[in-house]
Amino acid sequence: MYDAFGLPIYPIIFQILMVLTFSIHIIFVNLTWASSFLAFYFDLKKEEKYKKLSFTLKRALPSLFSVAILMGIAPLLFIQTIYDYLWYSSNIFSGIYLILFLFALMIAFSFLYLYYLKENSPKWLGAVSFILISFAGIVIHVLNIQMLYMSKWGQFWHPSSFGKLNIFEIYRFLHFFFASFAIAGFFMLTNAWYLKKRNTDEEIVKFRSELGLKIFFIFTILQAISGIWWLVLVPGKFKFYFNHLTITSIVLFLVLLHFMLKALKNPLKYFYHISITLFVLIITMAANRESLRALFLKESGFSLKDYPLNIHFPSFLLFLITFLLAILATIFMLSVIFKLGLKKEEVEDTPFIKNLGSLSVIGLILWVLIVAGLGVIIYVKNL
Amino acid sequence: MYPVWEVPVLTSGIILGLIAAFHILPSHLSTSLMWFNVIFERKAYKENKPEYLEFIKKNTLLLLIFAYIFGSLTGVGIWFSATLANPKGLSALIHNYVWGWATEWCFFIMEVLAIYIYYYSFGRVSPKTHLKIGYIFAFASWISMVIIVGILAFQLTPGKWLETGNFFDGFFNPTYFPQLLVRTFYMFAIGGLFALAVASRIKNIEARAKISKFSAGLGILGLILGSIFINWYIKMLPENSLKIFSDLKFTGLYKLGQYSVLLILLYFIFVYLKPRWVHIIPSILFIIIAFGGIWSGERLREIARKPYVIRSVMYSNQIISGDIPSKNVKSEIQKFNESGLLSNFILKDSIFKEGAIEDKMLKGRILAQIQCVSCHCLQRKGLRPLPVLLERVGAKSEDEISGILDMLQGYSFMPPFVGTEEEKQALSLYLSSLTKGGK
Repeated sequence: MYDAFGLPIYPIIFQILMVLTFSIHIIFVNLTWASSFLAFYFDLKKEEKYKKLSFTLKRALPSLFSVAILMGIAPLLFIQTIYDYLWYSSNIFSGIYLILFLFALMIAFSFLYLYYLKENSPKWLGAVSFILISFAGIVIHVLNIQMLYMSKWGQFWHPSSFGKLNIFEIYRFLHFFFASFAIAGFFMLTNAWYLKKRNTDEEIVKFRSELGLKIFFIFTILQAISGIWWLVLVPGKFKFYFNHLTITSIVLFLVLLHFMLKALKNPLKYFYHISITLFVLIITMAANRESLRALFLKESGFSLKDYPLNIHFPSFLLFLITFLLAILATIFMLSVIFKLGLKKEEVEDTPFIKNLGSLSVIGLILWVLIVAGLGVIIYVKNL
Repeated sequence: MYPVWEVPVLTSGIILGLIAAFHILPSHLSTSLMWFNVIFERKAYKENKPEYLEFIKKNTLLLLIFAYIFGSLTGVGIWFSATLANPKGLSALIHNYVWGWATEWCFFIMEVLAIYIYYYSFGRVSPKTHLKIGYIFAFASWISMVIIVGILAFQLTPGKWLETGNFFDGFFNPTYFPQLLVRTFYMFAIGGLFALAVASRIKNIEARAKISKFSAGLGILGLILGSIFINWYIKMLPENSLKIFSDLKFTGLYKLGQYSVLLILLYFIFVYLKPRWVHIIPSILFIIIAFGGIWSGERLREIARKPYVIRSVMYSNQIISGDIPSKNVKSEIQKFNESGLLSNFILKDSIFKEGAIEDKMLKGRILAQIQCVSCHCLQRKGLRPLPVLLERVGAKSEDEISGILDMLQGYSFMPPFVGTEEEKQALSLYLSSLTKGGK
């Protein structure tokens, strides 16, 4: 059940990294998924304000998609590290669907670019992208469930199988599906908040914030209902109701509901309260998902505590230092784009942007020099 | 032991090969093209030539669309297809190099943000800031190659790691620097081809000619230096790899590689001499030719590694072949020969229950799936077709095939059969059923 080479660091580190990166990944996946549908849906409407909203979504979609894939790489790496045996087995049961998953996403991504770049692009590009992303979502959903049911693996596979999607849990899938519209609603609210900072026409801000909050509110409720449905079906012996993360999620949901209800009169008044609560709630839910997985796997005798260890700190340190460099460069670039978005004309460099930009480039050069130096020394020594 | 995804006719190994080879085009484009951008952007500001900016904008859009749709997804595709063709091999790599990949991911973050912000901030931030974003992309993208080459080269020549099990000893292994240099210089040739395709669409004739001449020059330099470093790379290859090359004579692959490099070199020289004649159609045609060259290079690199997925550590059929005492890893050969490969099969409890273990044919079928199908197809037509190959060496009956399985010990490019005598008989029975005149 465990790879012979063991883990290079304690499993809890991988779990924490996986939960955090998965949380960001799923936010962007959700955003892309529902936004592709909403861009198409608003495009169908005749009113100008909907057309404009559709264009905003179209413009954002390629970069949202890119970030979704980028942020998916990390949890995909970590799941292969700690749940290799389960993940790989599940993948093999569905062979061909993994390849179709790739093609579906490549086509969806290309269509979303066409949808944005081409003037008067056909509306179906948005709809087809939404369907293809939904298909990809189904594949990943199935892979994640198949890995939990080890006792059923014999039914999932036979020697000449080209791959099947063997199991589908509608309540669990809906929990993610509704979340995607909720997040897209929140994105529209965020967009309105940003437009207000840019002193955009009040009518547009009002329209987007109200519509965003409405979508966010309705789908959050639907997501909660599907969540309860899921919770009811979790085997009673796990006592998942009493899990501290489940209770924390419910409390955070109620806090979010409270702020959303308060915001109904003036959607942007509680924007910060809603944003912070939502982000914490998403991380808590992702952690809870991980704890549920552990409960399922324990049933089949799989426990991360039993994973052999071959600890190697220097390589972990390499990652941590590089991660800090990535954060530095990210702050620099996001500061540039944030400032840029607030104005229509050219923006001037602030000392903060200037220094951070130089530091990022110097950091990269230093990274190369240090690693190359280390590499040459080791290479020559080992020859 | 995991089963392997069986792809009739093609094999899962070749699906992995196709995705990985295709990935080289957008990934090496990504690592190289921004260097063209920063060079011309500097020139544009320094020499006051705003006409270069059109080239830079078009390049950026090409990077955004081609490199970031197909590059990122085929990158993930390599993991997925490797999972299907050799899950245990991928697992072994990940468990040794997870922090290598995680470090590479940090550079992906910088790349993705940089390319979008570089694109959207064109003409709206100061030239210095814009250039800094360009440099972040150019460095981050190239460093992602610096990292992945360490893992790829480790598979072929793990070097000192075999004794120490140390991450860095395996990373900076004997073929690391030669491979990194080959890829770094060839990436400028690939980037040069794309740059010519983009330059051919520029309206300003002067700018088009200057950019084409420069790109072709960089391409020539890249091809020549890359080809020089290939010789160093070959010198560092293990003896067994050279033996495979001399035994099997991959004339077609060699020729494909050599002719592609030669043709592209001639094209670059032509454009260098006649930069005004650059045109989109030949440029695209030469990108296709480059794919042929990449296919040849990547296939030969894979072949050089045979019969291992990690040299001296794991065979291409997922069986651990050597001890790594520093990691507490032991060879599985003896264990499987004594207790059986199938007793370690992940689905043994569900597939073989209730007396089905007695089904010799099913056992043979699954053994073939574990040990053969990632490289060989089981049909008569397709890639390295087992029935035809067996017939060619005159092995049709169970006994004859069993003899061939014994002989695999002595092949430089095939892993030996591993399993009990009973399992060998089951596999022979199954393979015999595939041959004409067999059971």
